[in-house]
Parts: sequence; C-alpha cells; structure tokens
Amino acid sequence: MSRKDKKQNRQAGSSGAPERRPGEAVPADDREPIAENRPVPVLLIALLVVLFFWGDMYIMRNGGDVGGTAGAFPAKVYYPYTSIAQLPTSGPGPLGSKMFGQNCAICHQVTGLGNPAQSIPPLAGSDWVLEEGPNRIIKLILNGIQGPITVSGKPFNATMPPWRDVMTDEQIAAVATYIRSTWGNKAPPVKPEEVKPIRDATAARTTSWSPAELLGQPTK
Amino acid sequence: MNGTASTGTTPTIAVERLPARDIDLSCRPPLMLYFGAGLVWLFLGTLLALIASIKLHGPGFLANTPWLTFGRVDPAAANCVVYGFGVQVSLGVLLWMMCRLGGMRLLFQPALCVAGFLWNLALAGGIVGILAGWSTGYEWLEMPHFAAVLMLVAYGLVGVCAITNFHLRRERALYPSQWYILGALFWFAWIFSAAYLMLILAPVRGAFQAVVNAWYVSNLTDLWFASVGTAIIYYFVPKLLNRPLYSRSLAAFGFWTLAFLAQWLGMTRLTSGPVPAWMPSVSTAAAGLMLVPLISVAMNWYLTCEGRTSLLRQTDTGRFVWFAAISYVVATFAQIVLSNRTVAEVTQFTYAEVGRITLVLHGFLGMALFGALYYIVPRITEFQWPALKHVRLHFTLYAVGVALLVFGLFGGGILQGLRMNQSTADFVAVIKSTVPFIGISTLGLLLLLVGQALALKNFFTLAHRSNEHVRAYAIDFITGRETVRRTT
Amino acid sequence: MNAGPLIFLGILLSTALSFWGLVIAPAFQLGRQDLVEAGAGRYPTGRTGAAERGAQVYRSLGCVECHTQQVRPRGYGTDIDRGWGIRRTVAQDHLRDEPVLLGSLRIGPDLANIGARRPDARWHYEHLYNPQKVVPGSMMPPYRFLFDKRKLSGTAAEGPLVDDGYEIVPSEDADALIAYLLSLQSQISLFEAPLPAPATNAVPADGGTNAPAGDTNAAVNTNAAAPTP
Repeated sequence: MSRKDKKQNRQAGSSGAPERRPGEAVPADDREPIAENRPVPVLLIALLVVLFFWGDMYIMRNGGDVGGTAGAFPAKVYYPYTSIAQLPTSGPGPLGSKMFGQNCAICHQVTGLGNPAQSIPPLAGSDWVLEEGPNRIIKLILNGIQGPITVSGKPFNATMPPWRDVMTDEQIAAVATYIRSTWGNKAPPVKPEEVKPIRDATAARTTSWSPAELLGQPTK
Repeated sequence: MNGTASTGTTPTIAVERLPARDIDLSCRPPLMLYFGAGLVWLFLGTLLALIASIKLHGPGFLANTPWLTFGRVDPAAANCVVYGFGVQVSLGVLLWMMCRLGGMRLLFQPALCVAGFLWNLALAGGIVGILAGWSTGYEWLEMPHFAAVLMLVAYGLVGVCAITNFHLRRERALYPSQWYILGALFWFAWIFSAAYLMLILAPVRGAFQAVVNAWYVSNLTDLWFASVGTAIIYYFVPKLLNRPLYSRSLAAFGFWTLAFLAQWLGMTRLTSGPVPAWMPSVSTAAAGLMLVPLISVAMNWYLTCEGRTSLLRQTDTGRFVWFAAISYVVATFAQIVLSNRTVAEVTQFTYAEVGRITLVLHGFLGMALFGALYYIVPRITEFQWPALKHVRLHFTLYAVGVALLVFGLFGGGILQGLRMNQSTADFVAVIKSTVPFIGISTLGLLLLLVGQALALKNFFTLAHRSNEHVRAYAIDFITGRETVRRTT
Repeated sequence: MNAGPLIFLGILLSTALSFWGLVIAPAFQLGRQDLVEAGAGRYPTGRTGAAERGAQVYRSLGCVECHTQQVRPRGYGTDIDRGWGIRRTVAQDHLRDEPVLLGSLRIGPDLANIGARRPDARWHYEHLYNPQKVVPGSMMPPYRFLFDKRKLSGTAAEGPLVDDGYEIVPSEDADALIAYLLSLQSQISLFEAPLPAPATNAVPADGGTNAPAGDTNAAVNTNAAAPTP
C-alpha cells in the first residue's frame, strides 16, 4: 500500500471514511452484517461427540465412585476418595456405620486401626472381632473392658467404656455387624435377638470385664 | 435502504428498515449516559485496583484507614469495573446493536435513562458500602443489600424495554449477534437474582454458599461476558470488512454449544475443596468440551476475514475487536488448561486464576466494548472524536497494559503455585518472590489508567461539544435565528 | 421468520438444565446437611459472642481476599505437610458459617485451623498490630486502626501490648476478630475426613506396626504450635 494510501487510512476515522472536523456529521452506514450459509464442518461435530464421551468417562472416573456403592453422585465422597473405603456395602447398613462413627471411631479410628500410641487395639483383622460366635464381643461392648489385652498377637492396655446404657440392642447388633464386615473383616453378622439374652444375663454386672475374664466366657 | 433476510434459502422480503441515522440518533440519550458513567466507573475501578496492586509491594501503603484496607479496596475495584463498566456499557452496546439489526428506533428512552440513573445510584451506594465495611463477603456480590436490589430493578427495567424493542423490530430475521443478545439479556437477570436470593436474601446452608458463588462468577464471566463480546465481534468483523459472516450454521452451532456447556463451568475453583468430588469433575469435563464453541467461533471469525486481519486492523474499532478476539481464544484455552486437576494443584489459589479473569474482563470484554463505543458514539451524536490520535494511543496503551497485567498475574501465579507446592518453602519467601511479577502487573494497570484517562477526556469533550451543539440548535429553534451551521 | 420465542425457549432450557445440575441437585446434598455427633458433642459447634461478632469483622475487613479457609487433602498441594491442618476441610466444617468465606486466593496462609495452630491470643494481637515485626517480610497490612494508642502514664499497662512508651489497647473489633480466629479449628475426625493414624512412635516391643501399608504414616501435629505462619 502506498504511503499516501496509508496516510489516508490513518486519517480515516472509525468507519474508514475521511476525517471530518468536529461538528460535521459522520456518515452513517446503512449496511448491516449478513451471514452466509455454509454447513458446520463434520469434524467439529465429531469432536463434540468425542469430547462428550471423554467428559463422561472423566466424570465416572473422577467423580468419586459415581453410581457405585455410594449411589449416584455421592455427597460424602471427597477427592481423594478416603471415604470410599468406609462406605457401607449392602451388609451392615447405615445404622452400623453411624453408630461406629459416633461412638467407636474416636478411639478405634474410622479406619479401624486403633491408636497404638494410646494402646488402643485395632479392630481390623482383630482375632477378638473375627471369632465366629459374637457373644464375647457383645459382652465386651455391653460392659467395656479394662486391663492388658493381646489382640492378634500384640499387647494393648486401655480402658473401654461400657455401652450398655448408651446403645440399644439394635444399635449394638448393627455396630457389631459393621465391625465384623468392614476393613476386610469377614465374620458373621450379629442380630438384635442375639444381643438381648446376653444383656439380660449380664444385667447384674456393674464393672467392666478384664480380658482374662472375657477369654473364659463362651463365644456362642 | 431495505434490509434482506439473511439466509440465501428463504425468499427475500423487502422490509422497511429505518435509515441508520434515525436509529442512531434515537439511541443517544440512554447510551451517552451508560457510556459516560461506564467510563467513569472504569477509571475509578482501575484506580482502586492500582492502589490494591501497590499494596502488594508495600503493605503499609494507605493502610492507616479502614476505608482503604486491601480487603475492601480489592472487591470495590472489581465491582466498579464489572458492574459499572462491564455490565452497563454492555447494555448500551447491546441495545444499539439490537436496534440497528432490527432496523428500528430505540423505544422507551426515558425509562432506559431512569434505569441508568438507578443503576449508577445503586452502584455508588454499593461501592461506598463496600469501602465502609458493609461488604457481604461473596465474590463479585460484595455490594450491600440495598444496592443489589436497586441494581436488579434497574436491570429489570432495561431488560423489559430491550425485549419489547426486540419484539417490535422491523427486520424479523435474526443475525447471530441477536441470539447472543437475547441470551445475555435473560442470563444476567437469572444469575444475579438467583445468586442474590440464595446468598443474601435467604442464605443457603454451609459450603453450598461457595457453590452458588462459584456458579455465579463463572456464569458472569464465561457465559455473559462471552455472549456480549462474541455478539460484538460477530457484528463488527463482517461489517468493517464489508463481507458476509462465513457461516450462519456454524454460528448457531457455536451459540448452542456455548449456551448448554458454559453454564456447567465454575466448580473447578473448588477442586479438592469442601464439596463432593463429582462437582469439580463435572466442571472440568465441561471445560474440556468448551473447545467446541471456541473452535466454532474462532473459525467463523477467521474465515470471515479470509485470513487478512490486517485489513481489519486499519480501523480503530477493528483493532480493538481483533485484540478482543485473540484474547477470547487465549482465555478459553487458559480455562481449559487451568481446569485440569493436575494443573489446578499448582494454580488453584494463586494469581493465575485472577489473571485469566482479568484477560476475559479487560482483554476480551473491555476491548470489544471500547471498539463498539468508539464506533457508536460518533454516530449517535453526529460528532467526530476530538482527538483521533488519542483513540489510537488508547488502544496501544490498553493492549500493552493488558498484556503486562495478564503476563504478570499468570507468571506470578505459576511461580507462586510451584513454590508453594514444595512444602519446605517458607510461605513469606514464596509471596515475596512473586513481587517482581506483581510489579509488571502494576505497571500494566498504570498504562491502563493513562489510556482510560485519554478515553475519558475524549468522550467528555465530545459530549460537551455535542451538548453545546444541541443546546445551540434548541436556542435557534426557539429564537428563530440560525447561528448553528446545519449538517446533513 | 420469527425464531425469537424458539431461541428464548432454548436459552431457558439450557439455563434450567445447568441450574438443576449444579445448584438444585447439590441443594439436596449439601444444602440438607445437618450437625453430626462427633468429638465431644455436635459438630460444628456454633460460635457465640465475641467469636460470632469476629466473623462479621472478618467479613467486613475483607480478609477473604488474601486468606482461604479450606485445607486441601494430603497428596494434593502441600497444605497438610505445611502444617496448615491435620486433615482436609469438608463441607461439614463450614455448616454453621454465615457467610462461608472459603477464599480463592492465598496471599496469606490458610486459616481453617489457625485456632489450633496458634492458640496464643497475644501472638495474634501483636501480629494484627504490626505483622512485619512478628513475621518479617510479611505481606499483611498492619491493622493499627483496630487499636487505640494511649500514652503510658505510670507503670501499669492495661492492654497486652506495649509499644515504645504507648500502650496499645485493642478495640472491640480487634477482640472479636481474635476470638473468631481462635475459634477456627477443624481437628475433629469425621466420616468423610478421618484423622490419619498417628505415627507409630509408641510401637510395641516386637517392632510391629498397626499402620496400614502406604499413605497415612506421616507424623501428625495436633496442638503443637507449628512454626509455620
């Protein structure tokens, strides 16, 4: 473009018309933009489809177990999914995990690993928990336990409070079922009908068990 | 001149469009108010932002009074620019484009002027409220209750007038810009009232507030600003080049993908935050999908130019619009990248996200609005800009300023994030190492401010002369003399 | 061709879908959360008195512009390694906050657990009055306007701070703000954010460990005053 043309263009105002002095009208242009009609490129539509597929996969993988055991779009699953491991499967039901979280997790931890620094034994893989008959565990929950105890070969020594007056039969059965079926534990569930006779039989007991005493008790 | 239906397939019906001059003159009263006030708010907002930026170099700067503490100046600056300039000037430009494309005069001028007056009154009260300490605490919704209500009323008035104008248009066929205008008119009313209801009037419980806030901010930037800016670029690129838009169907494809996808963004700012994992994941997926509307729109613009953008850049408006288009492409790419979880681990609580929003607000929307403003004002007042050189200078200052500002924020943010993720790095040392980048941003803000001062002077000189002209004309009319030279 | 109403319908549909997906659906999840039994009572405990007023001072001064209140999980960023929290922040932690000020920019450290990290009120007063003296190089502005400076007459000073012959007396706002900061704690173990197993420094004689293989082996600082700011 020649210098003269460039200068003319530079002097041109916003509309491209020659510059006018202030006070003079700027010619209004009556052309409005129009659009031609060409088809949308097929590749672009294909890209949209591919990206939709990718997006879907992404949400399934990163959405926190979407549609999995916790149901669609789980509310309590935060990345990185530490709580998926705790999510109840079809076995124990929500009451058990709720009771556990409220009452037991403070000492035994939500991970079921206990607190070795405070000499609290784990429940995961615990031979006490995995006994086939639940009676020992029910008694333990009802009245608490105190004194040196060996769990899965390791020694612990802490005091567990009684839960007789805090939890009902349903709740004790639910939490025992939960403990016996989580963190890889696989022991038979506990029913409330199994808790009631033990509660009645030990109604007179006011002190907590010692491990030696409990070990002498039958498990069925 | 008769307009024609804009597709080649439907039979052309001769429509009695009004001459463009009549349309432009009818837009004068409300638009001069919106534009003038908008420029003042932009200047004030950038000044406050500059103060905030300087505080990041020396925290003791102006720290002795609660009115200018960083925590109040920063949101005040953002609200000034977003609502005072962004939304207000957008409304003016959208109204003008709608009238031009619809081929009829702007109706309800007094109502629109009242709305503008209300809007600015509300905003003034709101900004003072923020600086006085009545901030609500929600990002971009910091203005106290009364201001938000007044703003909603004012917007409702504008919206109703605009929709009625749209309904009564002469040219019935729609050009792509008008779809975006329709969308924008509805979307702001929806997101603002919903956010106001759920955060301020009847606050929702707990972390859900953060969800609603993030939803609002994201919709305002990535849906509303995107709609306005895209409408402007769709309008001006074919017009200035005197060529038709490349493809109407592609524009439609871009519009609907934006409408259905952009509203799912926003939760990425809560990645690994106190919200369930599925929410940020949905937004990340939506951000990836944003590639489609981006490509549609960018392709349409580029192919309309047939690659020869230098022709576009020879006009003032063309330069602004060209910069806006490039900023939009960069900002959307940045969004797609920043939404990725691995990237977000570095950039999440850093200046990088601020940088992206600044690029959208200034680089994209601001540039598009100024391009439109420099085109519209001479036509609605019938006066040329008093200092045409300053228009060009403003563009240079604005472009360089935005580039510096965004570069500083992105660079500082990435550095901040990378160093923060080394757990041994002392936090204070990390922030100190970002100060040079913030210095670049501060310089950018200064350039922005100078450019805006030029634009302000230009605008108000023009307005003054135009007002004098109108006054003289009126006096002539009353006295029967002829002192004013008649212009055609 | 009058496509106006059709286009408007499409716009409405797009908005309705996304509003339902991102706002209404979470309302059924997050919006209906309730207090849970955790720790010593119901969590989160509400703030009372000075701490509640302090939350409003925090909001009014715009502290959220520089400080976040969300600890990111271990393995994503270094919040926990840095000592800013012992577990990640979840929605339950902010259930009773009004407004919820999560923050989105960190020019200052995260404050979700500041009450446990720095339980010393005096440190906070001194920091608020002159941050650069307490944390050299800090980017935090001094909030001197929250304090009264009175000439010391005699020997006894009323407020906890003394500065060069003047006593610095905190205003009500400063007291409220400090009370609020001290109330910011998130150390209760929750279902969705369990506390990690502690370090095996009390390991039994046979040398075994009860910690699971892998992740949660890091030492846990509970109430120790961490040196990080």
